[in-house]
Amino acid sequence: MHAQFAGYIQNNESVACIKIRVLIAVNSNPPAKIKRKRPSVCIVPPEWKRNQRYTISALGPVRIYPGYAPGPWVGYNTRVLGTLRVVLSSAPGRGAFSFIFQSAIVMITGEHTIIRISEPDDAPFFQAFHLGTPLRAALLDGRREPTLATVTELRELLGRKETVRGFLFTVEALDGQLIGWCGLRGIQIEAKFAELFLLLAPETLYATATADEAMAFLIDRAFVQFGLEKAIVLCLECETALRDCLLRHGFVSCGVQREAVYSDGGWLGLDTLALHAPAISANSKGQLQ
Amino acid sequence: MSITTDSFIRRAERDDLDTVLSWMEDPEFQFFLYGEPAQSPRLLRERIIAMLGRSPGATMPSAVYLLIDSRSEGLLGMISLQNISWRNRSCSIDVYLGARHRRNGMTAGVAVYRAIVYAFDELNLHRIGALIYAFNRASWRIFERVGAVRELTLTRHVLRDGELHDAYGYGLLRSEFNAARVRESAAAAKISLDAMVAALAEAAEAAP
Repeated sequence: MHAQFAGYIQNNESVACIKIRVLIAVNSNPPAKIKRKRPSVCIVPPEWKRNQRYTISALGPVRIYPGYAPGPWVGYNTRVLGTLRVVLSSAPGRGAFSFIFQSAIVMITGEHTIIRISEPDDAPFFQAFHLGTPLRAALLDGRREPTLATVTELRELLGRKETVRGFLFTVEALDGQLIGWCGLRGIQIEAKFAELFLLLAPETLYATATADEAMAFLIDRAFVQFGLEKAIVLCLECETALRDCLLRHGFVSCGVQREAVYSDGGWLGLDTLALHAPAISANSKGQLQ
Repeated sequence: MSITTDSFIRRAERDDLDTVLSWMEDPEFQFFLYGEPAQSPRLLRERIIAMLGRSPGATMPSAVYLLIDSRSEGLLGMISLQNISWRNRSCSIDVYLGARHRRNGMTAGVAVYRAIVYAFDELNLHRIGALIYAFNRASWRIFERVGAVRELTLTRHVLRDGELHDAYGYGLLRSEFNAARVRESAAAAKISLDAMVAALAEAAEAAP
């Protein structure tokens, strides 16, 4: 049995302390199912600093309520303070289990990028993707037409629902500059697949470790966190850099829908690439550690 | 090529609602078409009602619903041209035959052919796509017969009866369909009724 904590850091000014809200996901091996349990809140010492790693022997009164599915755990009033990693060396009365608390759901600080849940303030940056050229498959709607979203619409999208916000992530460079947008959409719980998307600017980033880190994060979200069995990415014929990045991560083309999109005076084919759970390369997994 | 049958296709009307809703109760309707677990029967019903209640003559619709009607048997089925993109001049197509005894006959093939002609010649579309489940062989064979190309194979893509099945993505371009039409017309010209009668007459005269 392997258990994994996920959560976020919440600033509770009324009691002048930092709270960790913990969501426990019990994974089976292979991680086909994830049972989410009721979140529990415990108070950690206020002197703990963000972006640091701590080890504790017990995590307070963490109670588990079977069958309770709290859904996304990021609230409107949450202010992300930073990344906090806590390793629980043993659980009381449960033997020597190793629980890892990661605030990766909110923010991952990798070697090349910081990935965090998208905020409404990111809307102007995201709109630049809609206005820019060339066309990107990730920004097409169900009819394969460019969405051309306005800043206001994007702001509403990013602030409207917790469910939406839990699946959209902003990619930052280590210096805080916004460089990309990624996420999962169209999740089919029954058929266990979802569509992934990764937008980076400039496109040359797709050939770098930045893209690899972001893609590894998405793959982890899809296969480990959500227990999906297949991920799909749409890619226009002109998005060669994205396609190369997907092939590096083990995606395989399912075929090209010919002349599906009209842009810049000509027809473009739309490639569908898929990655199945057994095909996840050890390389992709390793980049998340 | 001219095809004459008892059946014809026409726009859906509100009076068709009861028949269409009765088809929805057929388990095969959900099995082959709209069986997403996330979509409850109530939602599906509301969707059908909304689609038939759409005001006529709306400009640039995103979907066109056609019913397969028959002078002798009444309503036989439904064809929907969905996700119409007037920018890409493309759409996706779904076909459902409520009359079971017609499913393995020519009705579906002829109706699909007519719907494709309508989409290309009247709506001026450039491409028609269809996502068809692999187990629905009768359906994807119809699309192959009209010249559609299997472009996508999505493995383990749709859940039915607790099992994941493959799905195929088909695409038909206008140029391909026109070429197929020319070929079919040329072949049909050689087997005209007059030629058959003449051939029979010749054979009768030649006979001792």
